[in-house]
Amino acid sequence: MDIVYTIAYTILVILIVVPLYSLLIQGIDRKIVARMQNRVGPPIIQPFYDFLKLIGKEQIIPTTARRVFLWAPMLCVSVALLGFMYVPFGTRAPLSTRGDIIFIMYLILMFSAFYVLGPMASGSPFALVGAQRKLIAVTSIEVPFLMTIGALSWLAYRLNIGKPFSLEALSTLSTLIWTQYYYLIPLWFIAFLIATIWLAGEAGKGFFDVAEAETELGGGVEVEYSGVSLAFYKFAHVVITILGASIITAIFIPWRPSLAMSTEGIIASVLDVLWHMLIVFVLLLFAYTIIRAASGRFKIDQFAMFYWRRVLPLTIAFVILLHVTIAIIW
Amino acid sequence: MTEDKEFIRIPIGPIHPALEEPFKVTIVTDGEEIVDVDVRFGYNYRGLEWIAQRRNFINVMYMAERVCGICSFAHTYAYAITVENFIGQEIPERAKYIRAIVAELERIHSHLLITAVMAHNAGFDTWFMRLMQLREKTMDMLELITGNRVNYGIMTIGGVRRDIGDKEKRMLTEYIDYMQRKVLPEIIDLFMYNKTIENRFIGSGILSKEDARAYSVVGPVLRGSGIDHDIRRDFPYDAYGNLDFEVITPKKILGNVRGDSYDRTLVRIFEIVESLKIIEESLERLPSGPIHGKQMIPLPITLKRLSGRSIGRVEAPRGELLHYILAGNSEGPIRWKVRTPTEANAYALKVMLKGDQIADAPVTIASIDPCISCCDRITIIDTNTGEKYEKTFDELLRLKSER
Amino acid sequence: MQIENIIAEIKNILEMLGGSITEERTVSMRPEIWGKIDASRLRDFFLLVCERIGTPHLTTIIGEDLGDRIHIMYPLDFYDESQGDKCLYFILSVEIPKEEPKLKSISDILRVAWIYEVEVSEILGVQFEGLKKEGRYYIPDTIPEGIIMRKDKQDIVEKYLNRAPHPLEGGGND
Repeated sequence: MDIVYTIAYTILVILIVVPLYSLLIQGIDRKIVARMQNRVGPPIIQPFYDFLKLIGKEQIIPTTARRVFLWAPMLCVSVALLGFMYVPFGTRAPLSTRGDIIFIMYLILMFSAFYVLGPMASGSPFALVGAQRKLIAVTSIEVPFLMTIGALSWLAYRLNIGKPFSLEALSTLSTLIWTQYYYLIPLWFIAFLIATIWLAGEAGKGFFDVAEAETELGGGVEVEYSGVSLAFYKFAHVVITILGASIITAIFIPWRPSLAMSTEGIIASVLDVLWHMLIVFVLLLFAYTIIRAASGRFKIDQFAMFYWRRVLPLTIAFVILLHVTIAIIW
Repeated sequence: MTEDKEFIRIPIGPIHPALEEPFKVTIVTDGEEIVDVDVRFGYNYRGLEWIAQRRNFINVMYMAERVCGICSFAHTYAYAITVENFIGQEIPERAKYIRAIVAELERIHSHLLITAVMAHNAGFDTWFMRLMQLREKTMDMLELITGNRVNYGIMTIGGVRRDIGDKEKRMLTEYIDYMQRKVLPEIIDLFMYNKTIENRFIGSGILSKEDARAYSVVGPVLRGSGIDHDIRRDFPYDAYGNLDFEVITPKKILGNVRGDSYDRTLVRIFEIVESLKIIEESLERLPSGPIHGKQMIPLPITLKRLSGRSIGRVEAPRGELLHYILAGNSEGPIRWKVRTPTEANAYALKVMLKGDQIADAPVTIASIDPCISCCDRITIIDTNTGEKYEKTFDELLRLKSER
Repeated sequence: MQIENIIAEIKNILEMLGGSITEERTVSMRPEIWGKIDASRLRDFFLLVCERIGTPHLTTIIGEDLGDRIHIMYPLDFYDESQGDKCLYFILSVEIPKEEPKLKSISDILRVAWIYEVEVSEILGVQFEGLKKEGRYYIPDTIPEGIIMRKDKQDIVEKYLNRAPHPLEGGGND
C-alpha cells in the first residue's frame, strides 16, 4: 500500500474533488433541465449557494425524534465517501484488494439502511411513508444488479483474471471482452443496460422519484431535516449516485487516457480524474437528467412491478445465457 | 400480533406542496392504501358575509370580486346577475357578449392552471412548466381587455365598464388562431398519448354516476362522471342562450366513462376548445351599442328601492356558483350568501379517495379543482389564537375614519 | 320525467303536505318556483320527491335571520340530462321560531346536505336533529355557536373581532 498515494488520494479526491464535483454536476443538471423546459434556469453554481445557505440555517429537530435522527446524515456521508476508497475515481483506488466488490455492494446497501434510518427515527408520518417506499425501492433494484455483478465476477474468476471478486478484475474483464472474446459483447451490452437501470433507480429522479416525492409526501424522507442535516442528507444522496456511476464506469468503461499515453505520475492521474468526471457526467445525463425532464413519477407498486417483472427476468435470462455460452465455448 | 391495527393518519394540509390553498384532508392509511378521509376547511377566514351586511350594493360587488383570485370574474358575474334579476331590465346586448368573452377567457386560464397543478402533483414537472408558459398568453389577453391579470374590475351592475375596440378584436383573433392551431393540438396530443399521464391519472379517484348524483357535485367533476349538465346550456344567462357550444362529457370523446381524474382533466381540456369557439362566435356577433344600461343610472337610488329575494347562478370554471341576495329597501343587502362549487365537490372526496393509494391522493385532490378562498367566507377570528387576516381596503379606510 | 310532469308532481306533493307555492318566475328563460312548507313536513317532502321524481340536485341550504324567526331555504335543481331546455329550479322555504331553532336533518336522504347543514348550524345556531358532527367545521373552537349571523347578538361579536391596525398609524383594539 502506497502511503503517500493513499493520503494524497484521500485528501484531494475524496475530500475536495468529489464534493465539489457533486455540487457542480447538480448545477449543470438543473441548467440542462431548465433549457429542456424552455426556461432559463438557475446559474450553474446555484447548488454551492444552496449548500452554504443550508449550513447557515437553524436546525429544527422535532420533539418526537430520537438521537439517531441527527446521526444518520453524517453516517450516510461517511459511508458514501468511504466507497471511493475502493472504487477508482479515474486513478487507481488506494484500498482495492481481492473480494472488494462484495464490500462495495455491502457499502451501498448500508448506505440505504442509514438513509432510511434517519427518517424513520423522526416520528413524522410523511417521513415514515417515504422511508417505507425507499426500502421497497432498494429491495427491488438491488436484486437484478447484484445478480449481474455476481455473474460477471464469477466469469472473471473462471477466466483467472486479476484478483478474484475485485473491481479491478471486472475492469480487466471488460477490456478482455472487447479485445478478445468478441462473442460475449452482446451479453456485455445487456449487463450494461441492467446496470444503468439500477443507476437510474438509485438516483431516484423522474420515473423513480418515489422516496423524495415532493408533492405527494411533502418531501418524503427529507421532510423533517433542516439546516446542516439537510445539507448533508441531500449531499449524501448525490455522492452515492456518483459512486454508483463510478462503479459502472469502472466495470464497463475501463479505458483511461493514461493507458493510451502509457504514462504514470501526477499529470496522468489528473487527466484520468478529468476523464472520469466526463464519463460520469454522460452516464448521469441519461440516468438522472433526461429522465427527470421527460417523465413523471411512478406509483410505488408500478415501480416495484417494473423491476420485478421486467428487469429481473432479463437478468435471469442474461445469467443463463452467460453460463450456457461459457459452457459451450469451453 | 394484536388484532387491531393502528392506522397512520396523514394530514395533507393545511400547508402542503400539493395544495394551492390551505385546507386539510386527513387520510387514514393502512400501508399505502387509504381507508378513510376527513375534510376540513376554515383556514382562510375572512368574514365576508358578515361584512356584506354592513355595506351597500356597490361595495359588495368589490368584495365579491375578491372572494377568489382565479375565478373572480365568475363571482362578479353571478352577483351582477342576481342584482339585475331584481331590477328586471335587460342589459345592452354588447355588454352581454363582452361578459361572455371575459368569462370564457377566465375559464381557459383556470383550466390551464389546474391541469398544470395536477401534472406537478404527478411529478411531471416539464408539463407543468409548459402549461404555465402557455397560460401566459391568456393572461396577456385578459390584461389587454381589462387592464389586469387578476381581479379584473370590468363588471358592473347593468353592463361592463370597458369596451373592446378594433385593436383588441384583432389581437383576440390572433390569439384564438394561435391557440387553436399550435397550442391545443400539442396539449391534447401530450395528454392522450403519454405513459406518465396514463399511469398516474387513470384509475385514481373514481366517482361513479350514482355517487355523483347522490353527492350533488358540480362542474367538471359532474361532467367527468358522465352526467350532462351545464348551467350555461340548461339555465342560460345573458348571451349564452344564443351561443352555440357543446357540453363535454367523456362519453362524447372517448366513448366510455370511468369517472376518474383522467376523465375530469379530459373534460377540462376539451372545454378549452369550446371556450375558444365561444369567444370566436362572440367576436363575430358583437353588436354595436352601449356597454352600460343608461336606464339603470343613477344606480344607488335604484338599488336602495329593491326588495325581495333573488338567486343567480353561473357556471364558474369549477362548477355551479350561486349568489343569493335578500334586499329590503336598504342601502345594502340584508343577507348575501355565496355557495361555491368547491364546497360541494370537496365533500365527494370521501368517496373518491377510498381504496386508492397515497400517491393518488394529491392528484385526486387537485382534480376536483379546490379553490379554498371561495369556500371560507364566514366567521370571525378569536383574539386569543392570534390569527390575523387581511381586511379589505374599505375596512381599513373605515377604521381610520373611526379613530 | 318531463318538466311539466315534474312541476305538476311538485305542486301535488306540496298540496298534500300542506304547503303552498308563493311565487312563480322565469329566470334565465327557465321556470323558477318558490314554495313554502311547514317545518314538520320537511322530511316527508324530500322522501316523496326522491320516491316520485328521483334524487334532486340540492344546490345549497341558505339560512337567514329575519328578526323573530329563522328562514331556511332549500334550492333544488331538476334537470333533464338529454334535453337542455327542460329544467326547473325549485326553492323550498321553511321557517322556524328563533326561541326554538330545531329542524330535522335530511342528511340521510341527500348525502350532500350534511355540509350545508353544518354551516347553517354553526353560523346561525340552528340545531339539526340527526346531524352527526364531530368538532367544528367552519369556525374556530373558541367562538360559541350561532352568534355570527344572528342580528341580535352582534354586540357579543364585537368582542371577537381582531381588528388589524392601520398600516401607517398603528393601533388596534387590544
